[in-house]
Amino acid sequence: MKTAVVAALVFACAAFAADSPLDREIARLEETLNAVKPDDVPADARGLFDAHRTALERARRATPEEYRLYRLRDAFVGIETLAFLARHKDAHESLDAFTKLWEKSRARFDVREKLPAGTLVERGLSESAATRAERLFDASLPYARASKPWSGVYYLGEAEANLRFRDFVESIANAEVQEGPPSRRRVAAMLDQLEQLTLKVFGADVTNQNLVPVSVRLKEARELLAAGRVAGAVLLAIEARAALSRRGGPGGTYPEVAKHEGSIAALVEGWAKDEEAPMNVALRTEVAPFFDAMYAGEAKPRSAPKTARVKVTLVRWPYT
Amino acid sequence: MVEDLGASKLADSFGVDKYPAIFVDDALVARPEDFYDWGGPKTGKYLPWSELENRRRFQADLQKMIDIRLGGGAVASLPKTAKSTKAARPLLPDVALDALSGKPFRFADLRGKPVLIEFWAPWCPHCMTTLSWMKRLDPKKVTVVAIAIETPREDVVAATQKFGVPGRVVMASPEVRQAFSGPPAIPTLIVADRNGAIVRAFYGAPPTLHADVEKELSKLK
Repeated sequence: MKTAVVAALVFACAAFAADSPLDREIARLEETLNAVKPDDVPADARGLFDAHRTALERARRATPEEYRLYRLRDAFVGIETLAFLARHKDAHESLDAFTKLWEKSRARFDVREKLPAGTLVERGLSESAATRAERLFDASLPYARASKPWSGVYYLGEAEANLRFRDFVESIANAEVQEGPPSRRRVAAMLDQLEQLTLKVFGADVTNQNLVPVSVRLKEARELLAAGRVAGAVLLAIEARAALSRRGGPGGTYPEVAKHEGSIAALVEGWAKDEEAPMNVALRTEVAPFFDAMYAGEAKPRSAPKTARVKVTLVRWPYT
Repeated sequence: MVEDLGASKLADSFGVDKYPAIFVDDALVARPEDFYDWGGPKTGKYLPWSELENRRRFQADLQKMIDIRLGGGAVASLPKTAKSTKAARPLLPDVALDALSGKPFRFADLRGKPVLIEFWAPWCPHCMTTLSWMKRLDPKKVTVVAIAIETPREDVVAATQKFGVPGRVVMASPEVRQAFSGPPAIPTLIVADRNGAIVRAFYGAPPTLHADVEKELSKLK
């Protein structure tokens, strides 16, 4: 009898867990991916099926929920992008058809949402997705013209997928939670420091393409910060720090402050458990202290920069 | 500054529709095709980009343009500053010029009148605007030499026929490019006096460009 009760409880708990929003979303994404026919996407994109399936499995296994949501992002955006690409196969070969599709989508991307509530991880993911959606939408049309129409469809799909991910995160965000982000100035100071570390490595070998992922995330963190999306900037700063660690960059020296609890700390710890050495160590000894240091006392303001007499502008693809 | 493809007014104003591109103020220093062929001819200044030597060259070119902007820094064969003394003024280089008309010439052949040179390309809207403005200049008072760069000859011919490029249209040879140190930016305008001495170089396309060039030319009359 006892065994039966325990078994019933286990099944009940399993059913409850299977019913969580993230589980439901993972199941929906799996179904979506299975429904996409490889013949409906260009040959160059067919290698993505396996990659997205792997990303989805990684999200399924991830714990705790903060890290799981973070891991879900890539799978979500990748799968929705593939599905979009398949849905709009009529625009793969025609710039006119793609341009019409792009124009039709414009209104959706013109809307500027209010900043969401929720944990820092939820807000960070939401803000980052919103920014990515805007940038990718803008870039997809010129890219289709410069490259091939299907490339434009792909990036418009990625923009749309980011909007959907933002909507999903906002739908599950806990409105009761309001984790305070570090100050904007402090995040800016930490980004400056991280950029200096990165430039030091890059200066030693300017052909070092390993640093591209670091540079991309630093750029994204800065644009989020400039837009007042501080939670997004914090999340991307963490990613940039982790990317530098993964590529053997210097660990950096951060002020010793009390360990900051909260969703980002939970994410980083979950991430560390999911990695092997040496990255699991770096996440605990380099990335976590980097995050904690964002809450250190206000850094002494930097002396006012000398009046710029020259402006160098780099025009680039948003996220490479 | 970092701007994204599709959201850069600066890139749009130069007709840059790919990436990456580098500007120093309003001067285009390197364009997408310099780093990646984008399915076209592999003639970019920094190709192949994977080679260290090309990356160093790009860094040097960027530094050169920044120096010019910051301090009127000297570039070989170009004037040190707008206020160079007569004695310090370099002469236009003695290079063969490959005219589209089929009649080669040298800068020395143009002595007797001020010379206005524009380094241009049909894909650069600022260059085309300036060439259009040059049509208003009196050919009896100034000789215009429009040196086309980074563009296949047939495209230059087509643009010349379509827009009516004024003066002598020339294809930039490697020798010409070297003599003018690149040039370091697009567009670049050079004003020389009746003796072929360079009096001023303008890089980029500030709003006052045409007025500034007119002012410089008026001093030479």
